[in-house]
Amino acid sequence: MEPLKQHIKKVFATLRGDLKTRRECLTSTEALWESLINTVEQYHCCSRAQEGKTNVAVFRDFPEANEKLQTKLVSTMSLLVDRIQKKMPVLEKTSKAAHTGWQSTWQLLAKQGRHVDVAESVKGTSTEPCLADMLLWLQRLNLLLQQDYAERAWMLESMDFESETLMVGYHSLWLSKQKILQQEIDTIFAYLQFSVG
Amino acid sequence: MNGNSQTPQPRRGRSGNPADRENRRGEEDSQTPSHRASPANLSQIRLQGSARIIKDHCADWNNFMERWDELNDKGFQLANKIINLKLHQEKQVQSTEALLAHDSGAESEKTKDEICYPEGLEDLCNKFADVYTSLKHLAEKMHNITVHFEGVRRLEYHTSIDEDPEPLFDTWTVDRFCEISEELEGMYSQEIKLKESIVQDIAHQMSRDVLMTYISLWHHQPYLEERNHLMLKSMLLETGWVDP
Repeated sequence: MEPLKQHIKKVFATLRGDLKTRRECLTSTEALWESLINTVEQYHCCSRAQEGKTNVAVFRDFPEANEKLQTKLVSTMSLLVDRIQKKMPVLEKTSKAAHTGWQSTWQLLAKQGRHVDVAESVKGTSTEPCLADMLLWLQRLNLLLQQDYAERAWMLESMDFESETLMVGYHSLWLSKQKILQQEIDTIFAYLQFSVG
Repeated sequence: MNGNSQTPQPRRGRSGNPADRENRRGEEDSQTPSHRASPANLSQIRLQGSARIIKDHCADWNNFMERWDELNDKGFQLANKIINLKLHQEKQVQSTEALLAHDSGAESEKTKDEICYPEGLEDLCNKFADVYTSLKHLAEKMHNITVHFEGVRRLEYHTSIDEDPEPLFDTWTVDRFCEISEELEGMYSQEIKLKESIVQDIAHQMSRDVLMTYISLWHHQPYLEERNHLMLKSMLLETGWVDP
């Protein structure tokens, strides 16, 4: 059982570094998302402003200005989405690292499973979690990170600048997902702080 | 090309035969410094005449465009303040509508006007108008550059008996400088007209969507195409202000 425990601790130790990088990466996307949502708002204000406002001098005297502006805004929005997309490899790397760590742990467990005392595997102390808990946390972390990456990738793929509601919703979801996931990560590593180091 | 700072020879009285033109270039290279300034030797040759005018005006274009961007940012900050002030007041309009409904019509109008034009708005609008005035002066200077380029073009055609005058610098003829300057000037002259309209109307609008559109139009400058800075850089490269 000890080699398995040591292996899991190594996996968590490696993951901790990756998760820190992942968090910093997501923090850096917040400013990009703010700019994106501001630009989306401007785009939709322009569309609404022009509808039925023929008495406004600017729209009357410069009929093509709004269209040119919207073209520029779409270009800006696309650029911002590209920049957010460029952060995704970091998230992908972390989710793959969690998956690899989980896979290798599972393979080791399959090899050494018969040497693991089930009764001992659920015994832990305040500074040393039991093996069963550590396996469960690793499995959960792997699932959460896979799901998180897939959902974020899907959000970026399915963006629609024409729908202000959708874009605002995605922005809110992007931020809230990280908050929820980070709470889970912090809880797991709080339990592991003495054993992983 | 050597670093000799002799005055470039004036180009007059040559044949229009391209072959002769090439031969002349060879002779000039061997006997005198090249009369054509290229980025490689512009720092060493004291330019005179048309080349000097063109080069100086390319620097002017750079300075004016930089100054324009600074003023545009300043205008954006002021427009932001104007809109925030008006939108804040708009909320008050909505919340006091119920109260105004019980008042007489005359009193309601007066109160609404005071809310539509809140205290502090006039001062901000005056500052905004000052920024517009500075931008307008820049636009006029840009127009003057184009006029000067056109003057240089006419002079070059008049003094050269060649049908196609040679490039003044590396590859560009005066025609090219004129085209670029006209195109840039066209963008900025359209943009300044739009800005004038925004400055005149922003204080009188109450719709949030219209105000947000105004600030977007001011900030993003729809008539200035993305390639205007590329065009400027091309001019600066050609005249040797920027290293390739």
